[in-house]
Amino acid sequence: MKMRQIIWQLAKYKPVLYVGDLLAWSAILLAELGAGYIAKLFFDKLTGESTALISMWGIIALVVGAGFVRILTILTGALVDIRHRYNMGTLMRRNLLAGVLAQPGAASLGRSTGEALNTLRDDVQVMEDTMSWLVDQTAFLVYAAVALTVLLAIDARITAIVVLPLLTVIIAARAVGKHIRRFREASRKATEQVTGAIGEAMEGVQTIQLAGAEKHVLSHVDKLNRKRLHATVRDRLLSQSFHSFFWNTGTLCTGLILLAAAASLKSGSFTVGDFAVFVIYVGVLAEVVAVTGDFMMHVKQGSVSMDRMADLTQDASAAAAIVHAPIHMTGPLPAVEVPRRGSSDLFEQLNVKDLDFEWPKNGNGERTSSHGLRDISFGISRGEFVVVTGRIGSGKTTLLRALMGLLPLSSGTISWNGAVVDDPSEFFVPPRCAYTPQVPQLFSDTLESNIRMGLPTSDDAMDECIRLAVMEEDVPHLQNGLQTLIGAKGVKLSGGQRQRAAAARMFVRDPELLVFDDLSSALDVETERQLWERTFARGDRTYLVVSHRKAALEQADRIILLKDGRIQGTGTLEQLLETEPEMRSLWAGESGA
Amino acid sequence: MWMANVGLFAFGHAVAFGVGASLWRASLITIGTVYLVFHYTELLRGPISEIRTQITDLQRAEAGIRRIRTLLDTQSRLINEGDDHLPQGALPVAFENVSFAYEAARTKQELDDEDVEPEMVPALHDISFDLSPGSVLGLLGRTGSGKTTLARLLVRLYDPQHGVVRVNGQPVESVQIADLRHAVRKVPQEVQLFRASIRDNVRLFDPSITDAQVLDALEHLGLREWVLDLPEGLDTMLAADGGGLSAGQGQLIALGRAFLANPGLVILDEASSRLDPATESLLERAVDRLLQNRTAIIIAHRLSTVERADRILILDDGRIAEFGDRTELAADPGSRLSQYLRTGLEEVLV
Repeated sequence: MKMRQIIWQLAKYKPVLYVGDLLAWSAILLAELGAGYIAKLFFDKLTGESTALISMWGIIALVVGAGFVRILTILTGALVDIRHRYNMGTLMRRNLLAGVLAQPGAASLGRSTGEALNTLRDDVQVMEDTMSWLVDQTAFLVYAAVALTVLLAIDARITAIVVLPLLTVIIAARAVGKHIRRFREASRKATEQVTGAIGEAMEGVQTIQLAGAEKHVLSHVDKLNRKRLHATVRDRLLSQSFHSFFWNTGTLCTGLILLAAAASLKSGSFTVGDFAVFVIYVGVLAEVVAVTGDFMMHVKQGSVSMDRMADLTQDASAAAAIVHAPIHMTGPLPAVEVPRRGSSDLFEQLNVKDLDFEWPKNGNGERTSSHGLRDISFGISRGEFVVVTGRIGSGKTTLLRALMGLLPLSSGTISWNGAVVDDPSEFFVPPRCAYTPQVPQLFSDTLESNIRMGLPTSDDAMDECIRLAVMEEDVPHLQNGLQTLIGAKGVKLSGGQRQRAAAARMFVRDPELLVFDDLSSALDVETERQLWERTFARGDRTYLVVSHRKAALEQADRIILLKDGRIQGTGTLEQLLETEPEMRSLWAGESGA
Repeated sequence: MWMANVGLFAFGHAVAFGVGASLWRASLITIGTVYLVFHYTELLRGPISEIRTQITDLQRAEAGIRRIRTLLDTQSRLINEGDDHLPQGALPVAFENVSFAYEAARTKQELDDEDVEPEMVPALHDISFDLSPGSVLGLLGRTGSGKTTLARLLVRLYDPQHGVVRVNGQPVESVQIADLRHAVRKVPQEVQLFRASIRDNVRLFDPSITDAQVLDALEHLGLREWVLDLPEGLDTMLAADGGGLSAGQGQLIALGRAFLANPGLVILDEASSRLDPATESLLERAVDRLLQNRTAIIIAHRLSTVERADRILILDDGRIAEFGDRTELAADPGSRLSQYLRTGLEEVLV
């Protein structure tokens, strides 16, 4: 997407606010021009050139009055601009977050959290500035046009001498632009590395402390910071020289005007008042050129920021980052949408056909340790309890993730009640389906908010779900029951409690199809058995479960036995024990040492 | 600020005009001087608005400094006053009546109110045991039974409320923390990898460790060939979150860090996630080498790991449920260990 289109798209988001912003800033600058014109009136009055009826005291009162008008317009402008900025920034941050959440859940962010935050914070800020400064820029052009008209009316020849050097400067700016972009990219990247390293150091505090590597990590950050210093100095040096070049062009113009005006002053065709207004307005024009130059640089920096936003959302055109969406800046927040169960959501049949999945090769050309999936086909009907089992690395978790759209499929189709599902990650959500992963993702909040996640559920239903998740005995033992703050990633809970909290989160959503990844890594045999007993007692729900526990395998209506990413066999436990040596060996492994 | 500035200049211009006009009318100054006064007033505008911006910046900086100071003023509760050192080689370990409780997490409000005594969550009760140099202790117990806490006390991430933790007969408080953490190396379950070269990931940015030493450690891990085959060798950059490495390779790197420290006591928190057989056997070999001539405490999740142990300590709810020689315990059908072995370790322990 071109920068022009991006700006247009953003401007259209809150058009009234944006136009208001523009009007306010134009008014501010025009009030400033008014002050210049009053100076002309003053000098003309003083030297007796003016025939205006206004008295000297009247002029002084005008000066004060113009000052007040400016104060008022600035106040309005600032208020409008702040609101507009917040709208822009919030929209982009909202979209970035949505973009990150829309990516396949199990695929990585592609960069560290620290780096991603950098984009959310700084790159959004740069675009926010671009939009806000575009308003100033437009107002400045109006301002320049008015000033130029006044000057042309006074003396066209001298005015022409002003415009030429200014044009030269604009052309020069375009030539240097490329370097500015390159230096800015390098500087942003160096900054990103520093914030990334600091983020990693924060996450790895224990590793660093226990290895006594505090000093070394500090010097590593220091080294990255030096690189950043170097890159930033280059970036700043170039943009500052550029800036000062602009300003000095303005001063040079003033000199030219003075030389050109000297003769006319002598001849009397150019009054002292004309001279005053010329010097002020030439200053105005120089300022506009300087600001225009700064703005052009900034637009280039803005396009770097847009690229980085596009990169974060893995969207080549950057369109996703600026798509219009509601952001609720005022008034009550909208109620959380409760997923409604339509008749088409009622689960009858799930069919998976010829599903293939290949892990992407990593940077070293090595395959990751896990197998992909090959030729996976199976079906599940309403009310069935289907267990996926197999050795470690046979692809069990990969299968669940691929099915739920958390990993991108290479090929194959998934159909729900006979209809092909185009976007599994969008489709396999409550009330159709919910998933408890092996490593549950908990947030630093109360246990209750972690389970509800915004869902307005009755307390009775909550209690029932906690019972289903075999957590009813744990909750009273927590410091504040359901209101206990469980800390970042749920550190205040034991591994098993985390797992069961995630299961409760799934039960609260009352999905048609419940998908559990291996619970056994966090639950002991007895707890897992209780959990299955309680869930079976509910009936009329369908389960797809990864497990190698006897309690699950014995209850299974069907077992899908995976080996090296392929289905080795399907059937009941007895059937598989009879036909598949792999199943026998797994079953024997489960019997104990 | 800006508006005050504008007001000031409007006033300034009014004064300049008023004074200029009356002096001109009294023929005290020339028109040039009137212009000069006006122009100078105008010239002041730039510097004053610059000062205005600078003041705003300074205020921001002041707020920043205040927050930084709060952070810097935070004192660690661990007192690092010990000046004893630990010798090279395998170290004996002893716990004498050690009890420890965590402070319950407090809300921000509770933190502000200093009168509120923090609520304590007990984690270890009256733990006593001895471990002779060079022996391997298998530490078993369910999640939350206190295994991790016990390991944390050894490296002084916390100090116990009661009792003494001794390494080499010396109370851990009497040893310099840096020295203690050098001699007692905890290999965590989850590996923290950095976006840096493989070299720096293994040596944790310590510039005094040479490439030869890093390669030597990698050799022990069976990773030397793999690294040397990479186009950039040790300089290969790892992506964020250890991208580019498999989980097993990440764990091997964590072991490599321990090799380089050459500790006298290794605390190994075995990862519960499972790996493919090839990496698994690499890891087993690496652990074998790491345990040679060292005292070790292994938080075990797997049967094969338990079999390395000379002694077994089973924790239950922060108390010692069983402690003794592995072979003896395994031979006694009434022991918890043999009960665990019968039902399968992975089934019972988490």
